[in-house]
Amino acid sequence: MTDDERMALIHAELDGDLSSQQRADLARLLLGDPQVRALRDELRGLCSRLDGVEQVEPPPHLKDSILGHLPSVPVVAGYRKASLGRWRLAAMVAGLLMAGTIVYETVQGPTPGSRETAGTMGADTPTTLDSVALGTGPVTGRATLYRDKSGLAVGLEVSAPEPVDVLVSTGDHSFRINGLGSSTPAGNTRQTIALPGVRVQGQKIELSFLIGERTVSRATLHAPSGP
Amino acid sequence: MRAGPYFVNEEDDPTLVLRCREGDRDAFERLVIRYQKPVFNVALRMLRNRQDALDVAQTTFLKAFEHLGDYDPAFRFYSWLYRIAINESLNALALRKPRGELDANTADDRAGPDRAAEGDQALQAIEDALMRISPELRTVTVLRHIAQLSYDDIAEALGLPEKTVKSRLHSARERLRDHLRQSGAI
Repeated sequence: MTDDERMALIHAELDGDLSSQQRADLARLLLGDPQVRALRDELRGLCSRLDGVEQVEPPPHLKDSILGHLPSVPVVAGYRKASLGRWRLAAMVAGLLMAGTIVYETVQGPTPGSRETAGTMGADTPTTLDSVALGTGPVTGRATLYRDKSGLAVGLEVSAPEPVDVLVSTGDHSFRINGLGSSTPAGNTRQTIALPGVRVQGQKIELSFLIGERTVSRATLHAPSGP
Repeated sequence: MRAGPYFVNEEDDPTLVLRCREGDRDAFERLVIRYQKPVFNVALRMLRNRQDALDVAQTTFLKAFEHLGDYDPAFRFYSWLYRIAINESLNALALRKPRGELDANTADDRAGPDRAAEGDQALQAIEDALMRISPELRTVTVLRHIAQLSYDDIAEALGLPEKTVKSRLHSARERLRDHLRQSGAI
């Protein structure tokens, strides 16, 4: 057996990688060669000492220093960076929204009636595809997924003690709506976000509700698989 | 109609990362609390300089935050974080003056209070030996024996085949043993 083969056996033992045959080979080597035994003991001792190096506590200010240096960008910076194209696309979509579709606000009514939407998003009565209540947290209300002849739309009826930002993610597109729940004294806002051109058939639409950049509630709307 | 909104309370890394990506800074704070100690210790053993290790730890988390969008959830978050920490440590080493001189001698006064607290000749001998092997060999040694990562984790963190990781670690052990012998520590 060469020196390299002996070393390989010793390292394999240290790594816990010995087969039963190798274990037997090593045992024979250790019995017959004091130099191999000494080498193996040195390396075992070394590993033991390395494993025994104590972990040093970082200073208490490290965490605060890290958090204090985080960019104060509303959407986490990495997400922004990786999704720059996505946000540009979202901005373009938003521009199209301004030009050809509707984002409207009102303060009453759980769903937009056909009269309310006449001449705007679509004159036809929207079809409710899914609707979820927003629970008992600081954000309450309802999120509803509609379809009308213009396409899909998400309706948000939100009540909150503070302004709420909402991230709407459809997989390919992300939108952020800022300041819901703050436009009326009662803190109630209803807003409908049209999603023209967004194909979400069979997909989930994830909603995250943020107050002060902290996610306080989530909801998921499911678009049916059919057309 | 399904049940109402759901609240995600899990504290596992993927959930926290997802929350971070949605702008939840509290989730990032949880990750900092979880990993600041191991990241700091990896940097400390790579650099043997407390202030440099603090700088590297801070930079590591800030870069992680900035690049969360680039993080591939197919990989373990901590492997990705260690990769950043190692790269930052290697950058810090590269900025130092001639490596042989400085690495071998950056020891006691730079280690500050920890030196007295650890106050252990055996530890000092190990630290001396660590600083005498190449950064590449030190990296695998630190990740394996200080951070206690598996070979699989190390391979993922360094983007190397597991076989290469093992080969480097075996070389590192033999070099460390040689240095400890030379210094009379074994």
